[in-house]
Amino acid sequence: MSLLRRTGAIALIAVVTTAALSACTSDTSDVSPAASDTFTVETVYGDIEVPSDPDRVAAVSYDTPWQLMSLDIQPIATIDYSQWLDSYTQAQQDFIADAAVIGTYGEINFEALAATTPELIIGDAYEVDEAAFERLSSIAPTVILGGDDRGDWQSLTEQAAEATGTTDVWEASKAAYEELRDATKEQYREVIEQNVWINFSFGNEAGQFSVQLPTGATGNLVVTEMGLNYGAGAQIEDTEGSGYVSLPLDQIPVVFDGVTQALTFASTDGEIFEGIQEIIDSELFQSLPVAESGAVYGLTTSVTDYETAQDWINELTEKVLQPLSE
Amino acid sequence: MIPTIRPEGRRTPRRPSSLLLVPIGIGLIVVLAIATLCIGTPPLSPLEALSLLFSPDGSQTSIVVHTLRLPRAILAIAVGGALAVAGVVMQALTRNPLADPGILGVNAGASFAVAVAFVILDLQDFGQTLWFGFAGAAAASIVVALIGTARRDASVARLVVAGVAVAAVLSGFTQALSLLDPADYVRIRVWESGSLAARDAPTALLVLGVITAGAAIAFGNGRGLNLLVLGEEAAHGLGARGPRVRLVGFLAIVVLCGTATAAVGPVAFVGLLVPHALRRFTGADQPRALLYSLLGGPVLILGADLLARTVIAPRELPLGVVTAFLGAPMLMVLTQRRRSPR
Repeated sequence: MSLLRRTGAIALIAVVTTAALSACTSDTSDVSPAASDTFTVETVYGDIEVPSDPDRVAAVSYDTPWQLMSLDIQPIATIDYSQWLDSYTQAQQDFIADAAVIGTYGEINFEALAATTPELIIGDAYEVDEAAFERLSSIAPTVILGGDDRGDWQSLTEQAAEATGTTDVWEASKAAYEELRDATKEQYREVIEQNVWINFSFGNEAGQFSVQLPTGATGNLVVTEMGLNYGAGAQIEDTEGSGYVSLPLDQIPVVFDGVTQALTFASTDGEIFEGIQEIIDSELFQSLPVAESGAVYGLTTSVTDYETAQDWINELTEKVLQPLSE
Repeated sequence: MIPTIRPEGRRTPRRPSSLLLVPIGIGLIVVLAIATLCIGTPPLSPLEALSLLFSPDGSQTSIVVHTLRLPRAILAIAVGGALAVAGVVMQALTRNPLADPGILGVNAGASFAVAVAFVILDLQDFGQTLWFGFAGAAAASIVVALIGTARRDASVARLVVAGVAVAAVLSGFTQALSLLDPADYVRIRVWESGSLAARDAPTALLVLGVITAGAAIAFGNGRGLNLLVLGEEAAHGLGARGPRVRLVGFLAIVVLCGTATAAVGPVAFVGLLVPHALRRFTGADQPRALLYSLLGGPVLILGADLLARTVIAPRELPLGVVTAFLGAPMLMVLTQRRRSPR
């Protein structure tokens, strides 16, 4: 056994033993972090005893590192982001630069994770099922976050804050967000209300496109939070719980009927993603009034929490609302 | 005169005349193709669809018909015909009624090349997968041919084993590549489920042209296949040049199957099901089997695509999923019928 693995195993045993002893000796009711070394949090898979001031937090789901970033929690381990680094800001790239890689999206390397000796593991219920949760729990106390919908980043970050003892940071972030959101909505009320909006992207297959529904992270911010209302053709139920719907291209005239401003996704260099650009360049899309008027905007910010939501609103203001109001 | 196989103790059943079946097949293709133009958003009557087809007016509906539904119908006809004809050729070459064109590694080769394009070359443009898919299918088939025919005791069985082995290796590589990046995994998985929706009209016409050439090669080889299904010795005794027939048949499969797979992704069961379903009308007469399959394949794909577009409308099912759902039970029924004593 290598020194690293031996150290990891010893630490793992220590963590598990500590957690087990804590579970035996402490009260199972909610206890203030200040009053005890552990406290209980409610999670998707039941009540979990977590350390009150964890130094080593591992993020095992796709959005979790950025949600921790919004709470000023530096993860010691994340999944592999090397394939997507270009779609994240430099600040985000720097944030996870020193984190150990403990698997890929949807496939956690449990051995690598154990070797990082986490004190707390945080993930998302959409990516961590109960079987995976059990395995993670054998490594360290594991908090699996879950919201009303897949894109319910408000609830997800609130639970992450509770688990990491950073509720004060979360509340400050939330307050700043709400202030910005309300001020923006007030300042650009006419622009927001006088237009019909949509947020679209490429679809599940070539020959399809997608609409971000209010049950997804971006759709949640666009429709529910900012009140950028979709047209009648885009009032689509999220039957699959994925937060978006993928449709064949011949649905474009129906879904974009009446749309005057279209939002979509762009890479950090500002270029709209190639697959989306193909849709925009199609003859059918170009026949839409929204394309003819050039009102298609690529936004680079990926929404996962109150901090990135503020960044998104600022980007929307700069690229869309402000120019439209002039 | 080319002899027909007559199983011992059975009479050769009377087969319907081509004069009847060919117009029926063509009629079904026309009806289903028009349905492809009509069904969707917005729905159109056949008259409206044909009117827009022949007199485009620049409206959004006209654009939908010309840029989305027409290429789809052309691709369905081309790919259906290609896979079914390739199936006939493959089953004749191997004298195995369960042989599928994919046995030569065509699907695996195309999938591997597309995976390389997605993962290593970071290809984003789906249009370019056509060329990667075709190159992969052709390269895999050539490797299979080289391995399968390298030794003096080369046989069809060796060719099939080589095809299965190469396909297994390439599938492993494809899986390994797909695991490098979850986003590419999804794209590869989607490509492998097959779709008629992703090609524009010029590409669809190009595919139709190449497949027409491949079908011509197959039809030109039809009489040779008729002799080959009798067995090597009998074929040799009747004057057939076995290696030449096999080589030309192999070339036809690569062109037909490689182009079809590159255009829409691997579509299961067509090459297996259509020749089987039509065998009661064709017997062992290969030119007749080729002709009927050329018509039956498009009927199957057009019908499957209409199902794919309507079952969960406005969403769509992948074409390969529908052909698998239709093909597997139908194949079981057909197999049972053939086995049942009269």
